[in-house]
Amino acid sequence: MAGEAILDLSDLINLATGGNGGTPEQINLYKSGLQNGAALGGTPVAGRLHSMWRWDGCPAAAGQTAPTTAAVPTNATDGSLKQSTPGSGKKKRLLGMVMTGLVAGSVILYDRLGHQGGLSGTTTTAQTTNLPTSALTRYTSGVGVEAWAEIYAIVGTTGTTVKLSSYTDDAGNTGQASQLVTFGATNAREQDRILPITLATGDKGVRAVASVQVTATTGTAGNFGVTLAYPLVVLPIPVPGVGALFSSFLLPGGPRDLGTNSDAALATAWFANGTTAPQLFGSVYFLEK
Amino acid sequence: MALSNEAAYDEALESPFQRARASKNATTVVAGRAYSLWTAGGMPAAGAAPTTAAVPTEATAGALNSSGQNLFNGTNRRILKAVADAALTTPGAMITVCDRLSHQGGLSGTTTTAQTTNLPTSALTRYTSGVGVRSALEIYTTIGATGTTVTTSYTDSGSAAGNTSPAATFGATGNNTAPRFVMLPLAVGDVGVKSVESVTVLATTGTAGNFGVTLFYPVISVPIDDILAVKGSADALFGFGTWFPLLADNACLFFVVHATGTTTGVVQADFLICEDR
Repeated sequence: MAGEAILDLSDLINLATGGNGGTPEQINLYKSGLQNGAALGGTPVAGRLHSMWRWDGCPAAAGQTAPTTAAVPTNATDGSLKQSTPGSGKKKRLLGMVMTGLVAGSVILYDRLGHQGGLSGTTTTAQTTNLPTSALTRYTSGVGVEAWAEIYAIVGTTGTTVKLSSYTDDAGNTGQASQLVTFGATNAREQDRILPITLATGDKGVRAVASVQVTATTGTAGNFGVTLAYPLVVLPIPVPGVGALFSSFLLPGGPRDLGTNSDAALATAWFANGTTAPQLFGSVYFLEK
Repeated sequence: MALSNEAAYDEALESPFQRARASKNATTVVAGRAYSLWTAGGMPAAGAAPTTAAVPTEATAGALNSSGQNLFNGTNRRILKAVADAALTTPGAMITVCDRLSHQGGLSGTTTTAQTTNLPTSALTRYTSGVGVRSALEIYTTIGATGTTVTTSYTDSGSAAGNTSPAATFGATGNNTAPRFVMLPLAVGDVGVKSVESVTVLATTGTAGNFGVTLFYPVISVPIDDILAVKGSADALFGFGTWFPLLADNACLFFVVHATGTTTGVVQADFLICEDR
């Protein structure tokens, strides 16, 4: 029956070698460490999270245009891995990934559930431009869904804080306000920086964001937006060149379920260990059932 | 065809269609960057730097599977296990076995107009859709010490010609010595390459050298994370990420290595190849 669980090791081997409609799929991934053929707009910062959505590579980047109106990226959206959609009624499953890079750091593979842009680093009232975020089409309960402030054009040098001034949590409660997180000034202002937002006490995820508020002006409007993301894999690359492997073989339930008829917009982020862009090289493996 | 169950997998490991071994001499590299071992000596012997555009196969000198061993040609062949090690003085490398789909050479690091010498690349005979096919510039003779960038004009997997790849760093330390393998990104919208028609070096690197375009498909990557390490358990279930890499008929396998230090060390690998059953 379509969409059912992987039964056992024999079933997994059969599916992963193309039996029973397993449709094994390999996506070869490369990130050059450049943007539009030039140095990154924002130099990586050690210990911070960076979006690779607009970094050149294979499959191709999203281009250099930032999101504007709220949208739901899919596997047809540039910047994503563009893995195929599973057959009708089937679940796409992540088997594993292997990756290496020019420098040490961690690769985060995530499903980009929603994004928008056009927010300002100088407006201190609650901002609703291009908000609310689009309704979730994957992980619709919101459990485990993270909200990130993603910087598309550098904001100002004055350090302040930012919060989700109104969001809907995983229980459907509207009007929730997140914790304040650091925003602006060195290490929290650069292009492609991702600032994960900490949620209000008691919440386990986000369904939608209605407004965002910067506490005080950073001094430069720049451009940032809200990204809703579901992290799937954190793959540490402790030593440049060596690379690392993630296998879902022994995970509870087997290969990670990306959803029935999933059109997941799988993308990568970089948790930097230094200031050099990583030049990632590797592959990601899937099957379906 | 597929491996129908666990018993079939176990049987395939115990009685593989082919057991192949390759050993490549140590190559000087820059840490963390990709290098091709196509022209590295060893067993099999070194492949030659190409000139005119050609489609290498398993019978091409330099192919890992060309050295008097059973040929890999055929369908439904998989690598089920790779026991790889590298005699490293600093810990670590990642060895990627790639299928070399098309190659050519004779390009210059000093010519700044669009170069078409020995181009376009030959039409793909494996992975013919181009999806997932990658392009790289393979340096056969050292180019110059002046850093610049390079782009290509290519036909994508949708058969649209005239796409320009985003510029990639080229020339200068880390990007100028043989056998550096400079990977090229794709233009927005693309997921693979069918052919490359021209290469443009933005500014002279200062030395012509010799480089060419290689179209390739990564088959399997094996991280090696220790000094003098043997990656003993790199089988499909545990070491490949639950992946059972299928070889294309007539695949021309070669190594691409990312190393931690300034040498790859002697890279050795044993492969178990099976047929689906």
